[in-house]
Amino acid sequence: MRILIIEDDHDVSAFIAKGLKEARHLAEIASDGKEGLLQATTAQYDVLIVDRMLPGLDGLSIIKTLRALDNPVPILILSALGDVDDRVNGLRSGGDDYLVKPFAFSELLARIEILGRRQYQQSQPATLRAGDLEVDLMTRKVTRGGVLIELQTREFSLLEYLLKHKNQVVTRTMLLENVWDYHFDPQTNVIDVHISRLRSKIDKGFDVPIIQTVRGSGYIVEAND
Amino acid sequence: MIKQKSAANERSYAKSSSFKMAILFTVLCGLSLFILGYFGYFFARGHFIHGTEEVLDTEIRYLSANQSLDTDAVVQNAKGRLFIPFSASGEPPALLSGKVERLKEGIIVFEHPASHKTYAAKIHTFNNNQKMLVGMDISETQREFRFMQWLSIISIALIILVVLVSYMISVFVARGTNRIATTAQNIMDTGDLSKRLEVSSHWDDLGKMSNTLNLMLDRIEALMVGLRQMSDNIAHDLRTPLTRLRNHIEASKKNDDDGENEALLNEADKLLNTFNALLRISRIETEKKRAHFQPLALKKLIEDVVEFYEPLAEVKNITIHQQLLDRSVVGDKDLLFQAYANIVDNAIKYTPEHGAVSIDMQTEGQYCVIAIEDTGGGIAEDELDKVFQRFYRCDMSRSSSGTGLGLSLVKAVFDLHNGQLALENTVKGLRFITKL
Repeated sequence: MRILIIEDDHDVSAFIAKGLKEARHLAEIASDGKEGLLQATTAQYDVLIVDRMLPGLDGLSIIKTLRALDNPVPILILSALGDVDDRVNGLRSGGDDYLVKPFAFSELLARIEILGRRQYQQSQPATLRAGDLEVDLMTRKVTRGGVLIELQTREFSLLEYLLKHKNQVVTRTMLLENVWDYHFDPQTNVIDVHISRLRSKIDKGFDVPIIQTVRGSGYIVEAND
Repeated sequence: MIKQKSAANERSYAKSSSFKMAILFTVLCGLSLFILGYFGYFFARGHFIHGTEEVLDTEIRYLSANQSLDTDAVVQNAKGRLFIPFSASGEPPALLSGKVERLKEGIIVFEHPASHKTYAAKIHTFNNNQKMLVGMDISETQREFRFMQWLSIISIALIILVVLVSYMISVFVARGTNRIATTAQNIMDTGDLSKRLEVSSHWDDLGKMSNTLNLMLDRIEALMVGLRQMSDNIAHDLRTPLTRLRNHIEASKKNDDDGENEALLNEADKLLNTFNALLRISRIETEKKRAHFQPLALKKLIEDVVEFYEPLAEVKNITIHQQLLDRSVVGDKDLLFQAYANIVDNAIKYTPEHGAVSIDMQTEGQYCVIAIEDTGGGIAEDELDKVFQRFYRCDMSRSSSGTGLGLSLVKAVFDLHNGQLALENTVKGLRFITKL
């Protein structure tokens, strides 16, 4: 993917660019707002990473301008402001995702990959598959190898989210934001316990585990179909 | 919550100091006038009666000395005296057939039917058994007395006027100060520093006071904006280098064999979590933002909290009992979820295996009271009120993980919602009571 980083802190932008290159993406850097807007309007990018506080032109103005020009490029906002309000303002201005500094690079990468793919996945199938696991979104039935598995509502949502982002790393924060309808900070790592409970239901009696743990990042459902 | 607020804002005129002053002045003024009037009246009246009696007695003595007086005739001299002998049978003269009042023992007052003058008179029986009415004209004095009565009526009317005017002044002053107090209270409650006091006039003290207070609010607002900008700057300027630090550690993780970097990363994350939690609490406390307040079903919220933490309890074989009511409150959904999450998290954390956590919801008037009780053995009595302090950690919890800010955040959230928090030890553990 071709990614533009608009960030005035050279260390941060260099670090992100280095990480993205290691993950086989093309990264370009713009270090002030005006330059960033110019680059974003003149070239085609798959994802933009925009810092909120920038010299010249602030991040939200860049996003608003791009959206006013009908530019649909997925945008991830980076910010040191972590309030729910700031997040809401950021997303309302046209951003697609919001990440608070400081962030783990794995978190950023996971989000960028999901944003980049969002463009090509407009319609979701009614049935999600991973190996021999099948999730019917209409009837909300989960079967593995033809055997029906009983899941609670939240477990179903967890599995649905993981399967919708198949072959992508899903971080704990992403699960918290998308599966639970609250913005909060769980003091303990309850998400892991939820996942292990889900695992015990869908992997019981099978050799191949569906959900893999990515150390230091989150979880992934890998499937080739 | 709402009731409490309106009660605080409600100040009746009767409670205002100006009204009290007005009452005091009226009472003092009235009392002194009353005392003065009372003494004046009785002194003058006594003097008048005494004088009248003296004149009548002198006349009688004079008559007694001059036995040659023609008692058959009606004598009326130029000095306004009246001498009327009774008939032989002792019948009172026809003059007294009208209205007769008693001025004092032995002295009567009546109006002369012919001249329409008022007389004070004494009936005396002379040595020759002749009864006679001896009277004197008191019309002049009577007129003066009436004039005095008028004066006192006017002064009473003036007092009433003073009472009314002072009431109106007090209402005016009280209404003005109440308006200022209500606005100030409102600003304190909502934290909305953009509000200003209404300046209705520029000529009186209240207008001047409102103006001064508004200038003060301008100053406070400027300071608050500065403070917020500073905290935002700290967030930006401090978190960015922290990001870099964390990034360097993360970047060097690839050749990490002994797990040293993983440990460093954890430490950095812990530091950042503490920093974020602290910033979050101070933002909740200083901004008092109620923009996200909405009516929400407390039952659903608690159920979601329990549902979120239930797997954690399951691992420790802790049973969670809940008894909830369908009540809705007005509040910030995410903050309240965070607050109850912290409480339930604590309850599960300190409850040993096979213990129990119970959540009980009750209504108390318009309040919604939720008690979260664990079987974790409780904490020392002298620590009960300290747990809400920032970075305070009970002795027993020092070893376990956490920032020591969880309950401070809970307190900040409940303060924002005008709610109440209480902690008490039970037989088996700790009971956390929240009131919204």
